[in-house]
Amino acid sequence: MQTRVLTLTDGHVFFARLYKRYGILLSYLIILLFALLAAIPILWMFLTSIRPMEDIYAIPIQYIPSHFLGLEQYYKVFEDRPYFLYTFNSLVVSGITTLLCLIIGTPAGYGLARAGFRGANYVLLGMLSFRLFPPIALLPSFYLIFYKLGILDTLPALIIANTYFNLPIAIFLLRGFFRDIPTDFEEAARIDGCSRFGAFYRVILKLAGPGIAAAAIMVFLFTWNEFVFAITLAGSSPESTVLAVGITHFIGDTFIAWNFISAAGVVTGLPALFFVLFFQKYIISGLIAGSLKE
Amino acid sequence: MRKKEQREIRQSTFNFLLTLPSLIIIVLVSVIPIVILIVISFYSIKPKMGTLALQFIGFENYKFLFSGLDPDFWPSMGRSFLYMSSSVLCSFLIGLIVALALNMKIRFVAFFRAITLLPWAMPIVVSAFIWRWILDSEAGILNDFLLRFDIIQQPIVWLGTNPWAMISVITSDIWIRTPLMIIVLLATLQTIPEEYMEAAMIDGANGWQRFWHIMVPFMLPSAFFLLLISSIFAFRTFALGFLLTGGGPGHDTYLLVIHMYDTTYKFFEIGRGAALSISMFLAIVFITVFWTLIFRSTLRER
Repeated sequence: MQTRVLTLTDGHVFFARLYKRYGILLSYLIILLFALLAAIPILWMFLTSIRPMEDIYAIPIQYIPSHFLGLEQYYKVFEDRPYFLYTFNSLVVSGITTLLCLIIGTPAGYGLARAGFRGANYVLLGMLSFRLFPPIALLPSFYLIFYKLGILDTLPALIIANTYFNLPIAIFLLRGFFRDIPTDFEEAARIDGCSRFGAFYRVILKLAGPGIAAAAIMVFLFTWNEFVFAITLAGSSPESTVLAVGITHFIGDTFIAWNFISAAGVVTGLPALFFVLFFQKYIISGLIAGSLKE
Repeated sequence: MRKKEQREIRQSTFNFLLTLPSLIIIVLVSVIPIVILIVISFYSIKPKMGTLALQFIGFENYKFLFSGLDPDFWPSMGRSFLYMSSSVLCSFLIGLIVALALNMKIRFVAFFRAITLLPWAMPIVVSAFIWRWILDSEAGILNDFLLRFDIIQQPIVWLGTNPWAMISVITSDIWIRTPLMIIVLLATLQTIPEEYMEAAMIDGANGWQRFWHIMVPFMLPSAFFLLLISSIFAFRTFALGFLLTGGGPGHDTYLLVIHMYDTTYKFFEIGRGAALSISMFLAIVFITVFWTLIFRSTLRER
């Protein structure tokens, strides 16, 4: 009896070990393959932005550059168009939207997380369902509203529109993070003599720091990358043009200036690269908080 | 006893007050555009000599769309569904495979996670142009690669030929959508306690059994969330299709979103554009119900 059990286990252990060794190799291959597929397009854009123009349009493609151009395309881009202004506009819109979402969203998220009142979950669901509406679908409404308010084609219009769409997400994320903090901390602070606001301020904000950072990064990134509103509700004049729109200026009727577009693309994509490479932890915690915490 | 109750009531009130201003702002602000949208969908709104000419026409807009008088409505709806299902299913499957691979204790997980996250994090405008550049029929590296290795003899006009246009757009969408799948699925897999897997191995379960009976049940809630959210986003995604092909060639990649955009901004039929938006919302509700039904057994457990 014992021998039989041993043989069975032996066989499985053998296969398990084999599977483990080849399994890991296969895993590496899969990951490498996908990493290449993910990275090559972006790398190619970056390479195109620093190659001389003759190389870019040469057919067949010259992979080895004839001479190193360096950053000349970038200089031309910033000279040709008011790209510093566009960058500034992007910063303003993304920054203020993030601030607004945090200012409005943090108390809301906290309140919903510690909710004693019924219907808190319904409120949350209701808010999220607003997000179901495609931004593009609400364009006519926003267009009309901003037209009546006279702020069409200005940065505040973009700020309002982006805050509208990012606030539910911010609240949802922040609520998730606040829920994770046990109430003991607040109670301890209250026992030590803090007022309710004091407890909120000192204990919660410090502990939820990573959560707030995650929400901030998500909102900033979404707003910076946002295109639909940027090009419809704004963008007719340089003062209201954001980077995401600026890149489309290099499309001519018959000709696309790929050299400029690739440089502009790198500039526009910098925050994404920056946040992913250095703040990956926050982005991922933000994404997970959205999904695992139902 | 009473003091504790009092304190609890005060705490609830405090929370309520804290949340109240934000909620008021949010509800007011959120509902207004939607209400406006519904209202104007019952009107015919056309720009006329500098202002907007409004005319109440009831359900005429909807009749126009749903009855087939609009030659683009149903075809573009169908294309949007095709686009959505292909992209979501493919990205989910690929994401699952990569997540399973990443779950096998390999080194440099953080590094690989960062790289795989990039396509999702890039601005859509930039990604659209990246792909348009790669798929360029003359100077794009895809054709160059295929030609050099003699896989094809003539350059393929990826974004200008049927059926390659739709395939190219969907593939770009998959490229952008898969990272989210990977990240969420990987995170879910990593919450599965080691002991379950080890116990299963000791009990003699092979890889497939371990996958099906342990991993899948764990992943179902996340899968529901992912599939639902991704379907909704894929259905309404605008920038990618618009920038890659603009709906062309002809109407090959003419999606419902693009039809809505054209109706409102090219043909200036704002009322009808609003009706299209509401129709799109109805389709999204349909999609939500669809996924909720499929996953109802999972949801019931919660």
